[in-house]
Amino acid sequence: MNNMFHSNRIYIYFLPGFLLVWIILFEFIFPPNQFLPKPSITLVSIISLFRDYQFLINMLSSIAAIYFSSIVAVLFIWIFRRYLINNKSLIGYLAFFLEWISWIIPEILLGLFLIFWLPDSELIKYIFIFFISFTFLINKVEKELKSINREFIDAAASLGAGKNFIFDKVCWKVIEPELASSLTTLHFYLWTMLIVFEFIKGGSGLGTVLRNAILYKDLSGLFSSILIICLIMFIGAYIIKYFKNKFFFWSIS
Amino acid sequence: MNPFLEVKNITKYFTGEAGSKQLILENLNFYISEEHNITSILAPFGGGKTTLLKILSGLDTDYKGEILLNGNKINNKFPLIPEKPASFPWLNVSGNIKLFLTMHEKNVKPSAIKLQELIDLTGLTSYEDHFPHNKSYGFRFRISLARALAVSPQIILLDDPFKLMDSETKDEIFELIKKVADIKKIKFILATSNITEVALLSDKILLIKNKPVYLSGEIIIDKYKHRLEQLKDEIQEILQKENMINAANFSI
Repeated sequence: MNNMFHSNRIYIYFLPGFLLVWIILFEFIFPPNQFLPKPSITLVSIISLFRDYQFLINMLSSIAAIYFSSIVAVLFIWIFRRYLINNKSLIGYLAFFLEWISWIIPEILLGLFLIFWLPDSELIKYIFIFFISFTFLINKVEKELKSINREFIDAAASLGAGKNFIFDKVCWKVIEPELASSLTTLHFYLWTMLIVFEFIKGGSGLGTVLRNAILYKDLSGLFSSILIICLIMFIGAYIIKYFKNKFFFWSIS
Repeated sequence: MNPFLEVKNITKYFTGEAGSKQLILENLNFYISEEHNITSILAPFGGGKTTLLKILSGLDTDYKGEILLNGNKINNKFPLIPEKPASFPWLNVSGNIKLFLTMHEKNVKPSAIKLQELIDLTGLTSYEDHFPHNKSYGFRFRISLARALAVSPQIILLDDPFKLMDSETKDEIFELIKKVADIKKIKFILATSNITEVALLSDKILLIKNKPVYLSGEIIIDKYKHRLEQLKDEIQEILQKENMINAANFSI
């Protein structure tokens, strides 16, 4: 999955290619059908989406949940990085506890519990996304730290570097590019989970827009919503990739 | 002749997963004098060279025996440059050196003069902003050497760092090491299995036999007397006497 999303061609060609095939097939070749809507009707329905489904507010609600919660998770891990892998610290225990929950309870099931406990709260989707982001990243950090090339550590240690210096200035730097790359995967995963979560919960968000479109049997509304969601996902992934290449450009070989 | 560095009765065991103990170094003794700038430890492949260097560098403290520097027991560490010089790819040349200059000088802003001096000495002038990834092993070695010099060491340990270099780069690096040893009055200890490398570079050669590990020979090189071929013959003669000469054990 990683390799697929790392490929530049996917970003550049997938969406325009798909749109082109869709326009040719469903605008000109096939008659109106229940499978995919006509591109011209979808275009019109994009405008009505904003009016009938309060698309802008719902979109902002989903975007805020995804990016705010995941950025908080990233910052939390970055600030407390020294303590997270130390099982003797309070934060280390907390990290282990959350990881343990993620091992035994599937994330979507945890989401269902949250919906059941606090059905009217908008905050739970922030908690849900934070939980997924945090456990995903902490797992990645642990996995990457285990596979660090000893030579980097030995070189720094033999120069008199202490434990904290080695962790901050060497180990963390070694794993940063891999962590940044994994954000692309996490980003796609978070969107999928949030859409499912909102679809089940209702309230605000793009998942709710999809649910309402299905409820009203609005095929073009459903399809145009999916198109916009895909577009947001790809733009987000592209920005993450840009930041990765700009700030975490090195490769460990 | 006072020994500068003395290694006394070093014994090291590796403990396997099942708890079995394997003897790696057994009562190893040798010394390095003040006048020997570059000492080579010539040992066969898998002969405990890296283990010995890790002990000398202070990275491995689980051993028996003593290491004395100028007659005193030491706790400090000597910089170790490994086979693949581990210059940090996230920092440029200046950054790599500055990081350890700052650390060594207790977070005081490193002096630009000292930084420039190390860059010039190691032949990295005009490469200050270059990053080490995708660069040659020779380039990375220069960075590692400059970084090691940043902590003002008395000894620098080299763990077979020339293995992956081409012959032209090796010659340049040999000259660089000799120059640094002369100018900075630093001792180098090289561990390798390559006979030509030790013959070209060393002032003193320690031949170490493995299984069990012991010092099987010692050659003090007289630069005015020895010629490369003569030296290589001398080394091979000792290796043959010790029944160690085998293509699988050494490279020439």
